[in-house]
Parts: sequence; structure tokens; C-alpha cells
Amino acid sequence: MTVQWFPVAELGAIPKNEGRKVSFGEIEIALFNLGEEYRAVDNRCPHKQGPLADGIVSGKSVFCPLHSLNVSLENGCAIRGAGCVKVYPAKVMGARVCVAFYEGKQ
Amino acid sequence: MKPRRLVVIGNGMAGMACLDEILKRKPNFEITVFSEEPYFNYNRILLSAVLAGEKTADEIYINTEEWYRQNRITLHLGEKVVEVDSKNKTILTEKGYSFDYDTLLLATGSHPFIPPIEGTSRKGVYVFRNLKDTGRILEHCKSARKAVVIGGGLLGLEAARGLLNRGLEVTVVHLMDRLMDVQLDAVGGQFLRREIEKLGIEVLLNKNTEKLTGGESVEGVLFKDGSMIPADMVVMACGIRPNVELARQAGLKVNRGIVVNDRMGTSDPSIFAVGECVEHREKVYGLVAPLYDQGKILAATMTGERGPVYEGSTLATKLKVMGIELFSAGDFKGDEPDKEVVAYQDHAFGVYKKIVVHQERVVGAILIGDASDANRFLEMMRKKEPVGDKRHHLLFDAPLASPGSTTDVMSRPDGDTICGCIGVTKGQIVTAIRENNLKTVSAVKACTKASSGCGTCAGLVQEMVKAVAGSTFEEEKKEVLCACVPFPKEQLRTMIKTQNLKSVQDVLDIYGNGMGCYFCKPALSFIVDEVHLGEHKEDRSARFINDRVHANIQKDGTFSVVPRMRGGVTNPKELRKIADVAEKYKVPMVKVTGSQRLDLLGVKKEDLPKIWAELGMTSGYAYAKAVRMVKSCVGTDFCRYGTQNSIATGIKLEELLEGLYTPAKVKMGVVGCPRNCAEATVKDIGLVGIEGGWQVVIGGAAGKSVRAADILCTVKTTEEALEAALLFFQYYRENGEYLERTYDFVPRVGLEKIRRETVLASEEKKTALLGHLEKAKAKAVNPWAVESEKPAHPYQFQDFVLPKDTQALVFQESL
Repeated sequence: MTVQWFPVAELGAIPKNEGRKVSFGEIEIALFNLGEEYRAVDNRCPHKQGPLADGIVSGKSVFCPLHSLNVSLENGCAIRGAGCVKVYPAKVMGARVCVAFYEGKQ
Repeated sequence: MKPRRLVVIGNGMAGMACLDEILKRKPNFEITVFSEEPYFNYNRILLSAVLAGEKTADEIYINTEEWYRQNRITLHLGEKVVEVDSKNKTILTEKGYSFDYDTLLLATGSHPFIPPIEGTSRKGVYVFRNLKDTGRILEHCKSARKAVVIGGGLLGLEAARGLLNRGLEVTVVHLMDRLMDVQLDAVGGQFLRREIEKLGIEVLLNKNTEKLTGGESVEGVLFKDGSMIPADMVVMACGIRPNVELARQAGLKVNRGIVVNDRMGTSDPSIFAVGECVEHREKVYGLVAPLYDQGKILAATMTGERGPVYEGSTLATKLKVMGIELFSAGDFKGDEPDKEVVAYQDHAFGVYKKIVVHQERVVGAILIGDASDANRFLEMMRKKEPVGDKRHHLLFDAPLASPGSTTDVMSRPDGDTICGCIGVTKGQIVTAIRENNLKTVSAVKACTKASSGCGTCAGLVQEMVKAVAGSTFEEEKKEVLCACVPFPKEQLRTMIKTQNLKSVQDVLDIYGNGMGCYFCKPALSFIVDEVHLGEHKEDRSARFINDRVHANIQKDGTFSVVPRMRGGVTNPKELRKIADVAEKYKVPMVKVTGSQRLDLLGVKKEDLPKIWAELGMTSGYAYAKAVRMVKSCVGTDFCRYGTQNSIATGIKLEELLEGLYTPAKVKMGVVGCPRNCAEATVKDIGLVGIEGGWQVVIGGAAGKSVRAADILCTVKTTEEALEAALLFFQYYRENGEYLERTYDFVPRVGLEKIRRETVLASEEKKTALLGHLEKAKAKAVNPWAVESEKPAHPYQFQDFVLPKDTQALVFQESL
């Protein structure tokens, strides 16, 4: 299978346990530095579309800054309650963090 | 009738508990107490908790100055009694004063035994007996690395745990073949040793100390077998000896302790003795419960009731070491052929239970790993009841009728002792709850003193309050911070302070789940900042987004910008700048806020630093749990009714406090007259100008809750008013719970207490509060000025935008 990896940020551009918004055309994702790995999800909370990139990280999940919904960064789903966001594969390649925008799974 | 002069020598737990009992009987005594230590009566048992950082020294006082005053007790602190002249009924103090007595009570306690070995006077060698020792040890903990505790008894192990908590490498050295050999059999000793070693404390048994080596300071411990270990701190915990010198010199009969009869009288009919210094039926007690037993008997004797007699106490010990449960009582050995032993051992779980039965009665017990049944066994021993049917479930209590019900403790007889330290029965507690309509454990504690000793019966007391008070039962306010860091909020503050934890992640790693959440991360951010007065290690990722970017996030992910306008005063130049910025950055809305300021709404994150730079104004902190603003009315400058200069005072107050974080937002108001045009009486802190002075008011609100503020004080000058406001402000910073607004804080703590600890506090305390505030304020910055120049992180305000034509790196792989 062919995967298109897009370099989105240099390593170190996102502080540990924080997220940043990454836009590419119509797509807007939240990219998180979890220390040992990077994770990417759609930047719109399933609750009221809050910007997840600005949330507080807790382990491998994030709390939305608007109403504190806790969303898993592993499967994109709210830990309590309904709703999921799309997850995008992310990984470090050399000095860059790369995201595969089109191959994400729901 | 002229009151009888009662002189008490010793201000420790035994003496004061006995006085407490005496006072209950309302005797006609003129009471004078001499204390060699310069402190009010404190709970000596809890010194190990202070050493371990679980409590502060302030938290272990039993009686305050007020107690002495209310009971008209003359207290001489730091005044040692050096002579008792029993013929002339007078005593002489070290400072040369003499006092006559009609009745003398000796409660002189005991002193640590220091074995006659070389080197005990070197620097870095301590005993662990009183607050002063504890303070000296704690001071040395800051620089010491390797501690050796000589003595593996109760006190030695508690000291070792404390030192471990302080980050020292700790070895416990014991002369005998098992730890706590006075309280444990060989098997118990093995179980305990394993538990202690699991904590990370090294244990050396059968070690006879030859000398403490080193020069001026101690450097190591040399043993008789020739081996040696290094140490830059040595704590001697080799047992205690009764203080009997005064008694001996007074001509009283003294063996190991001051000999007393069953009514606690000494060989002189005017002199009584109580506590660790006495010997009763050839026994000397070094634990707290017998002291209370003795105190009650003695109080009856001294107030003329020839009632009960003292028949000795059942010895019971609980080890108070975080992470270890241990209980030992009575004859735990059971070696003799006529004694039976019922025992249970689970090595994997570290649980050891042993009950000794003699002639159908429980006479001793050891519980390690699970001491929840301790009180049940103690009660069986005290009552000397035949075991009978209970033999079937002696080690493990019979299952409850319905699981989780609270009938367990309630099904016990009224005479059962619940609090073994103070000696409070179930019946007394139930009566107290009923008659006084008590709803919380702390209320029961205040009323009956139950659970005010070692505190292990607090769980039982809680069950009783739940059962008796029913639906009116209230949980203690001391709830834990968060499931991620399950410690009571107050305790957490103490732990962070005493263990010098500087960052949120440190606290989460040591005391929490390592991850934290949206609630506890910002809460801990506030606490580490406040506790270290701004000298903490800032971790932006633990802050809410508002505090990372110094602006208030809006529902669409944009931010709002509120510049500071001190006292609600602005000028054309500022307004022009705001207008220019609003136009240049196409700010969708400019709004006058309820706080007499202007709000620029709908700003993009990446524009924030540019806007701040162009405004050149100070952050209004409208986004934070912090000092918001001071609203003011026009006051004497323009108003025809104004009695005080509210504008200048408002600006001054805002300048004094701006930039500081608080448990929850703090809004203030200053008004020039009681017409209250800037609504100061519904603010967290308000100054209300009156003819010839100010009223300082606190705890007001007109938000989710509406509450009229309480008057903290009325003062004459503006300086005094500002000082009162500052004192309350800092007191709230140090004692408020995270997210607790002043309108909850003031009623929770109580206005009287707040007054006592702020405006009515001693000069020393006031200076300390203001000193903390000054230090924190010196660290406070205008984040807009700092971060428009240089953000905390190069990409703090930056999103990443990929150009449309970005080339992908294409790989063949499986996802």
C-alpha cells in the first residue's frame, strides 16, 4: 500500500505534552507531542468542535479546552460518551514530524 | 473560698490531658504550668508525621494559647523547674523564681536514652524526642545524604521512614535479632523486616555499636564486629528513661520511675505524678493510651472524688509508618504451655495475624499487613470476656449481615472503647453526636477528642456519624485533590512544600498517576507556584490554554484580549492605541466589560504577540485564576458625595496585587462612600470609604452566587486599609482550595478565624504573610511584555500551515 507522508513540523517545534494545529488545504488536524511519540487527530472536538490542539494532555488522551471532554489520541474516541474524531498516522522521520493525511482511519 | 494552688511541672500530653480532665470537674484551683520546652502543648506522637512531611509543626498543637487563657492557666514557657522543696511546698525555677503550691503534679515525662558509646556528641548526631530535635533533623536533611538510625524500635522505624521521605539513604541498625523486639515475636520480626526493606530502608540486625566515627561531624558508625558503615547523620532511638531527678531530690520514693499508688499519689500526699515518669505496680509506660487512663484516675483523685482506681493499662502499640500496618498488644508471645496460639501467615501478601488465648480469653495479639481488626482484639483483651463462640471467627471477623452496611461498629456495646488513645467509648460518641447534632468526623473530634491521638480510629468514628446522623452526615471538606493525585488538598500543599517538589510533573510522578488531567494539572500549577512563591519550575503543558497564551479562549477557538486599566481609568492615548489595533487586526468586536475595562474579542492566536507589542499595555489577566481588577468609583476627585479617594486607592491596590495567581479569580472594588457605586460589597475584596476611614470587606460575590461581603475590619487610614486587604489576599492564596472563590472560602474557614490570622494576628505572623506576598510579587511579570519579545517556546503562538503544493514523501508500507 502506498502512504503519502507529509512533513508538517520540525522536531522540537511542539513542546512535550502540548498540541498544535496543522492546516493543509481544508484539513485541520491537532498534532500532539507525547514525548515518546506523536499523535494526530482532527482538530474539532466531537462535542462542540473545540480546538483539541489547545487541550491539556493526559497520558495518551487530551481534554478539550472548551468543555473538558476527554478524547483518546489512540482511537480518536471520547473516553466517556459518544463521538469520535478521525485519527491520522503520525511519525518522526529524520528531523521532521510527518503525518499521513489521506490514509487515516475512522 | 480561696482557691487551692495547683502547680504542674511538665506541659506534655500526659500533664495537659490530666488537666483537661481536672477542668471538666470545674475545681476551685489556681493553676500554674511550667514547661521546659518553649512550646504550647503538642502531640508528640505526631512528630514522626512532621519529620515525614505529612504534617507541619503548626498542625500538631493540641492546645492553643486560647485554651490556656480561657481556662485561666498561667503558663511559664521555657522555664525549667530545678528544685522541689516538699517540706515548704515550694518549687524553684532555673531563672531563680520560687512558687508555692498546695498540690503539685509531676508530669515530667522522659528523656531519650543515649548509650555510653564514643562519638555521640559529634555534629550530625541527634535524638528524636521533641519539636526542637525534629527541627534540627529537618534542617540537616537539606544537606545530608546518608542517615543511620540506631535503634529498630517503634520510634527508630518512624524516624527512618521520615528520613526516607526526605530523600536520604537510610539504614536502621538494631542490637537485637529482630525489629521492634519489645512488641514482636520472631515471625513478626521477619514480616516487619521485609515490609521495611520494601520501602527501601536497609536493615542491619544483631549490630552492637562500638562508636560513631568522624571529626567534628559524624562520618560513620563502627560496630563491635569490626564492620563499619558511612553516615553523615545519625539518629539515636535507643529507648527512653523517665525523668525522675526532681522527684528523687524532693525525697519521693523512686525506683525506675516515680512510684505511685492506684490513685496516682506519690509517697508525699501533696504530690501526684502522671505519665511516662511514673512507675505503677512496677510498670513504666512509654505509650500514650496509659497516660490518658492515668490522667482520668488522677483527676478524680485530685478533685476529691475517691472513685476509681488505676489497675494498669493493656499495652498496645501501633506503628505509624506510611505503607505499613502493624499492631501489637498484651502478651503476644504465648510461649507458656497453658497458652494457645491462633495464627495466620500469608507471605505473598505480607499478612501475619497472631492471637494468644489464655483460659478462654484473648490476652495478646500481633497484626502485620492488616491491622483493621486491632480495636476488636484490644476490646476483647480489655474486657477479658471468654472467647466462646467467637473462636470460630477469631482471626477474621464474622461477615456482616449485609455487605457494606455500617451496622458493624453500631452493633457493639456502648462501653466499647473506640478511641484507644484518649479512651472514648462508643456510647460517649453516640451521645455526643445525638445531643449536639454533629455531622462530621471533625466535629466529633472537637467535641469528644476521639481520634485526636494517633487518628487510626477516624474510620470507625466516621461510620458512627454516618449511622447516627443519617442523611445529615457530611463528608469532611478535606476531600482529595483529584483521582490522579489522591491526597487531601491541605496535605498535598504541605508535602509539596516540605519535600520541595518544584514542578507539576514531579508531584504527579511521586504522588500521582504520572499523567494528571484537565483539573489537577492547572490546580497543581497553582499550588507549586504559590508554595514556592514563584520559584517553581514552570511547565506550560500543565497550564490551561489561557495561561499558555495569556488570553481567553472563545467558543470558536479565537481569543480575547483585555488590557489592564487600573481602577477602570484610561486616557485618550490608550484608547487610540486600542482603536488602532482593533482596526489593524480586524477585531470583530470591542466590548466594555463588567470590570470597567475594554475587551477585544475574536483575536487569532498568532496575532496575540503582535497585538500586545503594539498596545504596549499590561495584561489584564482576564483569562486566569488570578487577580483580575479593581473597580472604582470617582470618589473625592469629582464626586460631591465622596469621602475617600477611591480612584487613587483602587489603582494602588491593583498595582500591589496585579500579576499574581490565586486559587480562583479575585475581583476587587474600591468605593469612596457607602453609596457603593462600584459595588465593592459584592467583590472578593472591597474597600468602602466612610467618613474618617475605610471598611475592608471580603468574600462578596455577584456572579453565580450572590453574597454580601463580610466586614474584615474598619480602619482609619488608607495604608491600614491596603494592608488589611493584602493580609487577607495572601491568607486566601495560602489557604484557599483551587477554584474556591472567596465567597466559599470565607464561610468555610470562618470570619473570626480569618480575622485572627490576618488583621488580628501577631506582628510576626503579619510580617510573614506580607513577606510571602512581597516575594511572590517580585516574581510576577507582565507576560505580554515578556512574550511579545520572546515567547516561552519558539512555537508557542504558531500553528502550522502546509502550502498546497507541499510534496509528500511516498512510501510503500502497511499501516
